[in-house]
Formats: sequence, C-alpha cells, structure tokens
Amino acid sequence: MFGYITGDYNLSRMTTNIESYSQKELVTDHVLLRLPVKSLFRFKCVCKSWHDLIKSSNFIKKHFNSESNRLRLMVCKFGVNYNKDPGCVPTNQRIYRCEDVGDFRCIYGPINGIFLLEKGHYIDNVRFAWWNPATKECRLIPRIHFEVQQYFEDNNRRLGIGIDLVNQDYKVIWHRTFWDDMTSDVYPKVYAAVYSTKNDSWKFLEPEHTHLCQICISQNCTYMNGVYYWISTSQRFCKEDNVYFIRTFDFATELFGEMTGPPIPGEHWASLMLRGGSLAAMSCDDVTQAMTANYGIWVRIRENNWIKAYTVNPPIPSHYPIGIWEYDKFIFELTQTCRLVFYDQTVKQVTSLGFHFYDLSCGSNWAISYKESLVPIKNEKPTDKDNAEYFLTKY
Amino acid sequence: MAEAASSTIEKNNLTLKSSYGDEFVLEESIAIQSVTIKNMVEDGCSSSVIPLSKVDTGTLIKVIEYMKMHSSTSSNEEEIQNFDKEFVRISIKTILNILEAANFLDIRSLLDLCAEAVANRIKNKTPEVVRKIFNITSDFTPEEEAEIRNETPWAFEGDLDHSLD
Repeated sequence: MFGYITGDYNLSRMTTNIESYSQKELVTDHVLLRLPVKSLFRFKCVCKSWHDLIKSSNFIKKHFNSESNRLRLMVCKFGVNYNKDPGCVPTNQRIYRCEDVGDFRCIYGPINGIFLLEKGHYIDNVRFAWWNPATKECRLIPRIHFEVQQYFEDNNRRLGIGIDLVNQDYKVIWHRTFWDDMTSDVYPKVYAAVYSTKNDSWKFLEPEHTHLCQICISQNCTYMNGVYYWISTSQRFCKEDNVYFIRTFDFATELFGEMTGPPIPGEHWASLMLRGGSLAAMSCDDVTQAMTANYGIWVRIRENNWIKAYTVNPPIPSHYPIGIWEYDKFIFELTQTCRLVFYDQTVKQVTSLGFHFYDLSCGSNWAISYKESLVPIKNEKPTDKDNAEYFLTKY
Repeated sequence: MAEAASSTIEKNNLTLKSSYGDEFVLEESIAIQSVTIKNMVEDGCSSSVIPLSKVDTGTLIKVIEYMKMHSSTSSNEEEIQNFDKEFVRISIKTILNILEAANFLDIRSLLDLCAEAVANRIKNKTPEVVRKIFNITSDFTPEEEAEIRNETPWAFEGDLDHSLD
C-alpha cells in the first residue's frame, strides 16, 4: 500500500549527493528562463554548461515564450531634433537612441524580437539591416538594384518580413510598382524580390498578379505562421465588387496568393493588423477626422469569414492611427501636437502615452508590441560594420 | 460508496513528516494543492503519515504556510499578492530550498513564485556572485572568460549587484 512513498523515501536516502545536482537543474530549468537578455549575456561566463544552455536553440525558444518575458509597448520615432531634448517621460525606458541618423525610413517587425530597419528615400538608395535590440546584434543586408527606367517613381512599395518555416530562414519580401512619368500612369508590371538570410542574397520574383492593386501598409507586422498578409485594394474588380481583399506571400514557396478580405468598400481607408495573434482589420470612411472618425474593427472568424466586431470612435482631435496595444487599445498620433495617445475601447478612455514629439514633428512614428529575444541574427563573420549605429549613421 | 469516500476526504487530516522527523497535521483539502500528495491520497495512502524525506522542517513550515494562505477562502486576491511578496523576502538559499520542495511536491504556483523570486534577486548580480550563490566552479580558462566578456561588454556595464543575497 505504501510502496510508492517508501520507494521514493529509500531512493532519496540512497542518492543524497544528487540533491544539490537537482537544485542546480531547477535553477537552469526554471530560473534562467525568467531572466532578461542582458543578465543572460552576463551569465554566459558563469560556467560552460550555462554558456551552452543560453546559446541553445531550445532555450532561446523557451525563453522567448516564457511568461516572465512580458510583451511591452515600444515606440520608435525618427525625427529632426532641434532642441536635443527628446522629451520622454521618466516612466519610459529608452532602449536605444542614435544621433545623426540621416535618412531612416521604416522599422518592420518584430518577428521573434527581430526587426528590419530601412533607410533611403530614393528609388535606388534603399538599404536594410536586421536588428535585435535586446542582444544589440545587427546584420547588414546587401543592396539590391531593380532594373527600372530613369523616369520611374515609386508608386506602391511594401515590405514584409517572415520566416521560411521549411528552412528556418528569415526572409524579406519587397513588392513594388512604379509610376511612369512618360505615360503618366502606373507602369504595367509588379516588381518583387525576396531576400534570404541563409543565402545572404536577393532573388527577383515574377509575380503574376496585376499592378493595379494597391497594397496597404499594416498597423503592425502582419506575419503569421510562415505567411505575410496585406490588405489590398481591388481595382481589378472595381466594376463588380469594389472591396478590399487580402494579398499573401508564403515565405517557404515564395509565392504570392490572395484570399477574401473584410467587405470594406474600396474607397474607404483600411489597414490590416494582428490583434492577439489573429488577423483583424481597421477601416474608416474619413480617417484623421477630429472627434467624429469612426473606425470599424473587423475580425476573421474562419478562413474566409470576416465580421465587424465593433466601432471605435475616439473623442480626440485630428489624428492618425499608428498601432494597436493588447486587444482593444488603439494608438493614435495627434497631428496638431504630435502626442501619442491610446484609446481603450473597453473602458472608453483616452490615455496619453507620455511622449511629446512636438520638436521632432509628426510622422515616422511606430508603436510596436515588443518582447525581448535571444535569437541570433549575426553574420558568421561579422565585421565592424554590422552594428546598428554604423547602419543608421554611415551605411 | 462514492459518497462515503467524498465525505471522508472532507474531514480527513493528513500528517506530513519532515526529513528531521517533525510531524505536521494538515487538512487534506489544503495539502492536496500538492499534486504529489493528491496522487498519494487518490492511491489510498492517506491514512498514515506521509514522510517527506526531501523537505527539512523549516522548509516544510514555509510550504504549509503557503498552502494554508492559498487555500483560504477568506483572503482576497490583493491579500494573496501581498502575502506572496512578503513570503519570498527571505534568503536566496531558503527560497531555493522551497523551490526544490515545490518541485518535489508538485505545487506549480509555488514553484513559479520561487523561480521568479530567485530570477529577480540575481538578475543584476555579477557572474562571480552567481557562482557563489549556486555553488558553481567556473570551468573556463581566464582567457576564455575574457573572450566571452569582450563579445558583449555592455552586458557587464551599469549598476551591478555584488551582494551574496
């Protein structure tokens, strides 16, 4: 009857020297996972087994998904600072600041804590780098040149980042159409290229879909399970069914696809987002309108089924939506004061995030849900140039 | 039969015996927060003393204190949160003993509380202090260690905590 207890009793008696070993195991299994990246990088030199553990892909995965690794709201702002005082309130911890940044364009992500940084505002001077702010690793991406005419201008350009789950490869997809000054029309071709981190090279793709659809920028990184999603206008169908649809890109097959989107009329503003890990969309018939802007929030409930979950009507002056926090907090930039606020749909309340970017002027503002990660992105043989500072100021 | 069994479960007391031989009587409904004890009870081992050979008396007192608070119906969430906060204001060594007991007794919430507390206590410490706390001898040569430190010097900057507890 007491076999179970007695057995255990004897076992522990016989193996008293194992007890301290098991306490060490408890520390590596339960405590280390809960530490921030900075501490783990410091504790790599405690002993060889900790060093190898912290670098192992299994630990990196468990650490990223650990409950202690909280999702935080991160704000990224690029602007010309005349006052040298960024005006952050003390409750905000600044994780990175770089002076003398020339031509920052965008930040994409994160995916597993990794961002893609973009510089350059002309057709052919665009440069990219991967960046992990927690480990401070940065990796320059080689440049790419699209074969375009001199009289072309950018018409519709969208980027997506994601993981090719077959090869565990971080990839970038760049989708562009150009405006042809000679014909005063969109040039009838879709240009696309995909970058593979494993091969460290770009590859041109030949998409078959029409150049007439405009892909819209998402509220956050709309990547999910190996596929990037954009919401797109449907000019092709405008005579019959002028509603948005979803354009997809599969990072493993490197093929574009499409699927049904929410039935938002083509003339309305629309933006796709991830809301608690699922695709959702935001729509508005008159965006930025003070006090009266009504945003429809659409959620995908099955493969091809979208429903309007509710309407958000934030009582704020002229603004622009820049992101979502948690499930129901919508982040806006006020265009008059360059302040960031969020509107909590559940309690119907507006709260300031404490950022006042008046000196930096509006725009170039990203509100990102971010979690620290140990995921390495370094080149096998990194050079002095593989750092964020070099990329932002000199590359 | 089923009815009789459930009514005895409600009334039953269990006796837990520490590794020092000290015995503690505890209501079964409180003790079965430990999945290990719960399994023993379900296997019909509850009528006698349960020897916990891996848990010393001091640790067992703390574990029982925790289980009593967390099974109490009169305390609200805030009281429990404050209790938890106070509960881990003890030496790291003691928390580690409780962590070990929580693992053995399979009390998930106590294990999480202790692991989180240890992580919070060591996160700003130096590698030297961490080695002492966990009784670890470095197997790196000084050159190897210097190399690791040079890879990410920023991880060693800032206000580091040199205290052993």
